[in-house]
Amino acid sequence: MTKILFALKLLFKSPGYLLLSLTIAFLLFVVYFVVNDLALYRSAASISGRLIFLWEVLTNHVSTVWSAAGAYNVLAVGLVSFLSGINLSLTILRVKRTGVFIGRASLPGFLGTLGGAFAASCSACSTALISLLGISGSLAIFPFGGLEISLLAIILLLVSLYYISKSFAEFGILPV
Amino acid sequence: MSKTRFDVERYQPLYTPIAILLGGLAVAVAIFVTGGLNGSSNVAGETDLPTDSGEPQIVEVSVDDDPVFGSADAPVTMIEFSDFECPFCKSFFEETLSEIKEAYIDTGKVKLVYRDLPLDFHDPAATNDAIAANCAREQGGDEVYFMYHDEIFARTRGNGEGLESGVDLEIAQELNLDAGKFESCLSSDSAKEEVARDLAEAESLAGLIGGIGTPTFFIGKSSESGTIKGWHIAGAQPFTSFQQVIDDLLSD
Repeated sequence: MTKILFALKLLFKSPGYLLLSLTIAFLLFVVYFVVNDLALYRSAASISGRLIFLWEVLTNHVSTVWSAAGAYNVLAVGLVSFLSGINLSLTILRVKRTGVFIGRASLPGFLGTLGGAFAASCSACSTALISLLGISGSLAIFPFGGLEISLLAIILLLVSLYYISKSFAEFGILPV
Repeated sequence: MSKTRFDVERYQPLYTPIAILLGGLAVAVAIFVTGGLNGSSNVAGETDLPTDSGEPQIVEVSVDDDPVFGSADAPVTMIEFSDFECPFCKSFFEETLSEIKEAYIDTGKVKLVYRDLPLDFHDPAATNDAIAANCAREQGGDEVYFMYHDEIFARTRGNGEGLESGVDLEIAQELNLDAGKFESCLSSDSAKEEVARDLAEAESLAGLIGGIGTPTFFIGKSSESGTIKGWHIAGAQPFTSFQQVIDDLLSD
C-alpha cells in the first residue's frame, strides 16, 4: 500500500502526468461506452457526423444508463477508466525513468483495461459488447447488472498498480 | 544563459506526457476539421445507402396492423420496436416520447406505430405485457391500447420481473374494459399470434441492419402501401436525433 501511495505521489507531483492520467481516463470512459453500443453510434453518425451532436448522443447515453441500469454501473466504469489512466501513465513514467518496459507488471492492468470494456452498458437491450461473446441478454443476465465484471477489472488494475509501484522501488526510484 | 538551461531541465519530466497529449489533440483536431466521424449527412432523399459498415440505414418496414398513435394522415410514420420490460424502452417512453409527442404527434406531423419485440431474456413477462396491451386494444381500439401501454411502463418492475400479479387486470378495469373478455383474450391465440408476427418481422429486419435491440425505430414518409422506407435509429437516442430525421423528412 505504501509503495502504491509513493508511486501515486510521484505521478501526481508532475502536472503533465496528472493531466495524461485524466486524459487517458476520459478517453477510455468514452471508448467503453461507444464500443458497447456501436449500433447506436453508427446510427447517430449516419444522422449527423457533427461532434457536438455525437457528444449529445454520448451524454444522453451515459444519463440513460445512469437512470435505467443504475448509477453504480456508470460509476464503476468511471473507476475502471481512472485506474486504467493511472496504470498507463505510471507505465509510461517508469519506462521514461528506467528505460525498461516490464510487460509482466503491466499485464494485469492491460487485462483490467480490456475487461472494463465489457462492463459498460448500452442504451438498448441486447446489443452490448458482451453479446458478441454469445451471452444472450447482455448484462441483464448478471445478478448485479455487470458490476461483477467491473469489480474484476478493478481488482486486476489494482494488482497491476501494486506491481508497477513495486518495480519503481526495485529500480531505486522509490524507497524499498 | 544558466537560467535558460535551468528551465529546460525543470520542465524535462513534462515532455513525454505533453507529447502524448499533443498527439491525441492532433487526432481530435483532425477529426473536428474534417467534419466529424462520418462527415455531415442529410438523411432525406437517400434510399438504401450503405453506411460505413455496409449495413443499410434505410430499410422497408411494414406498419402491419399495429396500433397507431397520432393522426392517420400524418405525413411521417415512426415505427417503434419495443419491449415493455426493457429499461431503455422505459427511458425512451419517460424522457423522449413526450417531446416527440408535443412537437410532432400532437401537431399531426408524425404518427407512431408501436410494434412488439419482447426479448427472450425478459420473457415470459415481456410477452405477457405485450399480449395484455393487445387485448386492451381489442376492446378499446388504439386509444385504449396506448393508455394501457403508458400504464405498463409506469407500473412494471422491468428487466423481466413484469407487473405484479393481477395488475394487468387491474389496469384493464381502471380503463373500463370488460374483465371477462379481457381475461379470455389473454389466453386466446389471436393476441399471441399478433405478438409473434411482430417478433418474426423484427428478426428478419435484424438480418438487414446487423442486429436489433430494443428500442429500435424506423422513420419514413407515410405511404398507402402499408410499408415505409424507414430510417433506422438504434437505441434510446436523444430527442435531437429524432428531430433531425423527422425535420428532414418533413422538409423534403
